[in-house]
Amino acid sequence: MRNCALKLCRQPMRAPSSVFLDFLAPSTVKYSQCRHASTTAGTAGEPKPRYVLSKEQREFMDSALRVNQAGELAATLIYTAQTPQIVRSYPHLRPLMKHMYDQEAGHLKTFNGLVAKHQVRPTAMYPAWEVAATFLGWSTAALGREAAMACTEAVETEIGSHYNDQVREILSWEADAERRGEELDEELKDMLATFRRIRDEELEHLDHAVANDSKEAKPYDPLVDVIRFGCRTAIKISEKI
Amino acid sequence: MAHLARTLPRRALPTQLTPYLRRAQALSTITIQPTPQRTRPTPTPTPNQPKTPLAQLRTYHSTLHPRLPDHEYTNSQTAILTAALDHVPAHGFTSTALTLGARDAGFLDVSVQLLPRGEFDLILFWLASRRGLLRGKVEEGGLFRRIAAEKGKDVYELGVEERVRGLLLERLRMNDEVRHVWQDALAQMSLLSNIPLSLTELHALASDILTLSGDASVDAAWYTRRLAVSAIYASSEVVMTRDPTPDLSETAAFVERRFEDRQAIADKFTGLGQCASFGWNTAVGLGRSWGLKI
Amino acid sequence: MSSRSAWRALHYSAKRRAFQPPTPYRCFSCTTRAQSKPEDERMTHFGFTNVPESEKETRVGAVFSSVAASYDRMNDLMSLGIHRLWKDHFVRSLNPGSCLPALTADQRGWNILDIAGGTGDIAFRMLDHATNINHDMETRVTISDINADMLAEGRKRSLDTPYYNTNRLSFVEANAEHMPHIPDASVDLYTVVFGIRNFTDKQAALNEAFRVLKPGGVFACMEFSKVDNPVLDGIYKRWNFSAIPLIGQVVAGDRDSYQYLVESIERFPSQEEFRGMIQKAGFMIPGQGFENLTGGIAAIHKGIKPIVKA
Repeated sequence: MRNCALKLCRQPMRAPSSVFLDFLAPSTVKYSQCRHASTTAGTAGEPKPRYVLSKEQREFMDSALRVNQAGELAATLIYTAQTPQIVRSYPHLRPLMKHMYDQEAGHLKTFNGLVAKHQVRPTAMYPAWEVAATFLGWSTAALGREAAMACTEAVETEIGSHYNDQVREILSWEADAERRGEELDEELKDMLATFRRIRDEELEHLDHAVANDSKEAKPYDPLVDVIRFGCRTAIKISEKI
Repeated sequence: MAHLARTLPRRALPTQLTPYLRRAQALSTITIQPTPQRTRPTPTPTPNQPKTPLAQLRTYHSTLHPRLPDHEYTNSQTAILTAALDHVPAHGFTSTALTLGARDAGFLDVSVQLLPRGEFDLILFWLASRRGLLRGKVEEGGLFRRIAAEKGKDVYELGVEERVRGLLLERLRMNDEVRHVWQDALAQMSLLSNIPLSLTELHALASDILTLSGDASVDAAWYTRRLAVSAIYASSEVVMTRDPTPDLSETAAFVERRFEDRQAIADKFTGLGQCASFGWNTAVGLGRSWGLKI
Repeated sequence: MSSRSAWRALHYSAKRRAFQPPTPYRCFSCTTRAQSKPEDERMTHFGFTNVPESEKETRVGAVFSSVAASYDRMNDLMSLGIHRLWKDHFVRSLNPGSCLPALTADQRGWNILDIAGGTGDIAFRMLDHATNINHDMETRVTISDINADMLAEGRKRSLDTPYYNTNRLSFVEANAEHMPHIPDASVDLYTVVFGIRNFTDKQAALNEAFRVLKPGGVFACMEFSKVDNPVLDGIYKRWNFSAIPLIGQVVAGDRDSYQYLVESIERFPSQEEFRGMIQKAGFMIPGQGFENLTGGIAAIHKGIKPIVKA
């Protein structure tokens, strides 16, 4: 059903109304021409025609990149706020915290690059998430190592499942492209690989947190539930604005 | 990992859209347009159009995919509007210009019914098409070289700020030929029902100018910069309608002053922010050195 | 009329509604039922009852013959006068008449065909607009109606207008589904206001409109439609099924005709469905394709005939 709908949505995109647009946006013509060139050259051995994204798929990528950037921003800020207090009480955790922070900082850099490259609007809640994430990191660290790790566990669970959803969505496009004898463009393939790598790293953080007694956090269930609910809400908001 | 097996995110694909799309496909009518003698199906607009059919909010952009068009007018609408723009300097953004455009494009007087918003459609089309033209100029590559040459610099030395300024002035100059009728257009745009679309278009222009200038802000600055460019552009447009100089030098001077103001304000805010964060970090550091668990 | 009988009438109509068999909605563009039983005579709806297609025309004719004289007074009462605002808006948005000098002689003035415009209220408005606003003395309107009584009413009213006995106004008795006397591609503007819901075969009428219109010509239709706001819809339905037949009984002494009117309103396709029918006839749809008036009680639909149909 979904694929059928997507196919239908794609149809209007196939015939760009370039007759009278030529003078408006030469880029439209240029790109569509080079696309046609690649489409006609789709014989055996040649590169397959490129899978054209529908408007809905573009919107999905738009909100996905926006959410991911906001999520990684929040993650770096949480670790930044947690690290001094944790390391002060448990110096042996310094390398772990640094490792996790470095990875998150790397993710943020990746997504900042992607957001700029694909001209995605960053979330309007940017300053709000900054404050919220710093507060979350600081307050859980103040509650102790277990609470901080429970926070990491909760956040990474949400983020990991979110990345998983995105990977699954792009994979469904890939399957769709396969069916039509087309293939995803390089950028999307790279992005798919990036999402997968980052998802695995986030889940690795989750394992570290569990290994460091996150389950020992004192009010474990309410704490984790509240944080996860907050994450889900933030994701929902960032998808839209 | 049971939680990972959650359903796919609910996508923004309205279910009621599907039957219309199917129907629209089955019914797409064929028109022959006057200028290039080619037959092509008119892209029947997805009937369930969003409230803002023009300059839809930016979405995912990729050099590997064609850019979405600057507006969503159909071919026939575009034909009438394009022809009508020729009559704008003489008749203004009026229904007269639209009717003459319809006649030029081979339509009847009554065919202006194709444009439900009437004159405002003409204004929006002017804005959207000039925006596309501006992008075209930049992508051809000559525009920044010219701006750099005016400042006596090499094109690589041109900063983002200078590029933004240059593009903004260039866009204002495009309005030169309709300067005498632009006040009416501004009045139309500020009508209550037209404000949302006017603002969308203004945002699209500011966004285009910044993107083309190479601005890569990905945080809250994304918003403040677009706001600043929009504000400067909108106020300069008003100044331009009263600018008696033929080469728009007064408007150019006004734009320069606004950019200086913007810089001054931005500097103040940065200074304040730095001051606050310094104070905060000092306080936290002091607290920690006293042994507070913060 | 005593309040008791008014109450009884309200009560009666409410009950009557409850007894209606739940007939499934069926629009003409997808006559699956008719196709499944080709040996039977094709049925169509007359209000909430189904009648053979051949019979609908006469029955609608009987309704309008009986309401012709009191038509405008009744409209005022039923719509609380709002129908005048709608009609004024409709004509103003169409802006009939050329305010510019024509390039060639045959382009002078618009050739307007007002279908189901028997009493002429739209036709006179359009001529007034063309004359007074656009200073166009050439635009002509042909009023076409299937019902001789409505046309007679329109002729009578035209006596009071400056267009009486000029070539700018003419009356034709014709069925809008089949108008052989009107040549192909001869009409600039085709209007049908609160009429198309009474047509037996709406799609055929739309196809005929497409035929007679010049390329670039406009099909404009105002018709009762579906209210999108549930609260307003509730009030509106109540008004329709309780008050309007009652008013018909009191003022025109004809309950059944007005009962038919409200039932036919209920049966008319929604905005989106009707837009689909217009597209199916071959028209281009400007923008959203319809404009809701007073929350969707009425809607203006427009379609433009493409320049060249391949």
